[in-house]
Amino acid sequence: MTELGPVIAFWVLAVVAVVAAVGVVGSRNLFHSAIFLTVVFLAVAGLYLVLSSDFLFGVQIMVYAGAIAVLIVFAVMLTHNIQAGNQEGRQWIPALGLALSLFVVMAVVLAAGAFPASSTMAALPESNTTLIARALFNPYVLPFEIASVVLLVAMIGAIVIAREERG
Amino acid sequence: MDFVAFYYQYIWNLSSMWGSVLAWLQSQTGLPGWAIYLVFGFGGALGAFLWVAISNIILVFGERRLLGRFQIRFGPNRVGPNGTLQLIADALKSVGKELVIPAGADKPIYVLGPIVAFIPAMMGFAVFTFGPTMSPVTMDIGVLYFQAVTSLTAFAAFMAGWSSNNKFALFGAMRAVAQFVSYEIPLVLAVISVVLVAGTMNTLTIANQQTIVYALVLPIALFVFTIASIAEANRTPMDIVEAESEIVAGYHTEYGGMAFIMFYAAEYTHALAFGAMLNVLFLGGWKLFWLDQVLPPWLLFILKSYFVFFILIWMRATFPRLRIDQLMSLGWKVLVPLALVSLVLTSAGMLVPGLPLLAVAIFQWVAAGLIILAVLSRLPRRTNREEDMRARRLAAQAAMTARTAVSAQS
Repeated sequence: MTELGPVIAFWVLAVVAVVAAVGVVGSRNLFHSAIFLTVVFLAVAGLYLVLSSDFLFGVQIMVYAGAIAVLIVFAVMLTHNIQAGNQEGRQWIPALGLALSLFVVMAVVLAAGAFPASSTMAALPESNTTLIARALFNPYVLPFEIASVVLLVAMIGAIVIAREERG
Repeated sequence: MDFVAFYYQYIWNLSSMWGSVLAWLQSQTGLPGWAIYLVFGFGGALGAFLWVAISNIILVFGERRLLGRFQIRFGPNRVGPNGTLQLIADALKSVGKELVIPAGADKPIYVLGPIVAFIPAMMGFAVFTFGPTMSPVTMDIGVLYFQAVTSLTAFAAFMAGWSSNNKFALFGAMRAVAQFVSYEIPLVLAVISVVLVAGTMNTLTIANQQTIVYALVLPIALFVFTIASIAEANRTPMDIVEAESEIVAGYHTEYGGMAFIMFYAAEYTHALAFGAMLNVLFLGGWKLFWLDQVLPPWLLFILKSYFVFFILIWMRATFPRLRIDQLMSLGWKVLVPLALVSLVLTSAGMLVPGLPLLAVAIFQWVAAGLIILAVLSRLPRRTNREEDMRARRLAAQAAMTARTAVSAQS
């Protein structure tokens, strides 16, 4: 990332992502939080594009912004008494502590700065979709399939729980 | 004559003209590469937007006149010659209207709704193939990009429906999400069949390598894609999202004036995007027999996309609107299995050595024929039903005469 364009794009997207992420936790209205969450997803998709990983960009938009965010909004709409907004509580204290400690850990790790991957990142080939496909279906086919089976199990479990019992 | 041929080559291939313009611009102004790239990007976007804007006018007017024809009435024919100025009158009327924001509305989201509705529909146009080398953006993941971007419209429907603070708008939004999420699955599965046959997700390569159109190779995928894209574009046989006989106007009930026009334009843009995508994936994009050697390919692409749109109008005029449960069961119980069948057959066909395309075509057509036969054999026979009715009527008459006989006796 030595050229000017990617650097500008990175900073714009990063600022958008962080501001929207603060909006997710900060806004009183749950629906606004969900929309901020979608903005975060889209900004992260943009970051993938900056890293010239266009397949991840497409999947990120399709799965996170197109499906997961929509389902979250759907769940928000079905929530009882949504208009009252977030309830007051003291749970933000432990949450803040957790988030801060996570932030410290990540900051320390990043500052130590031993990332072998970052040197190869610049050498990402122009069209990497085929490479991802080959990796998914040759060496990593077993974890890939296991992941899909896990999702299927989760789905069936959800149906079993949601289904009304027949008397 | 050489003069004409020289300029015709630029009209034939707009991208080479655009490239020459950019090269001239760079040589004249000495702008750096990224500025030229920006001009290139904005120019492409502007071109696509112009096409969409003009098409929206043509398509809305054409649809209203055609619907009139289909339904044996006139359609708009008063304003201007043959009614051609009707849309301008409508647009002027809409511009003049006040934008009313409902009292209990969630203001920022209410205002954002129509804008968010239009953007994803417009973004899909980046990957269309207007000619052998003409695509606004050549992307490795063209098809995936299109699907991903157009799937964002559900969100716009949601924002509009929720923020309007109106129960009918909310119903519309709920229906929108249920419908869009369900029909995304068969749509993507049908597209995967095409991607399997083409061996790439690049729309330009897919269109260019169709020596036989994929509509002939993948009839089942085409069927699924057509129906699912009508549902995704929210067009009439499947527009329960805004079924006016049930929930006023669905998620845009509370929108008027230009905001409503934005939703309207977004719907047409979306439908046109799916029509053009169907053209790219199944009808070979810019190809049309030998005509693409003579006429500019972008013109052929546009005409073919309009042809697909015409078929959508035809279906709209022919079929009644589905009920919501019918829509859901059509999606999950018919289209998803069909798309899976298409996927399995395509994968199996591609494994055949030698002529994989022919194998896929044979598998798909045989399966399509078997499915049609199975459906036909399960349809209730008309003659049987009439006989049944006659038998019932006779039985009722017999019972009647018997009763009158009994009452006469007593």
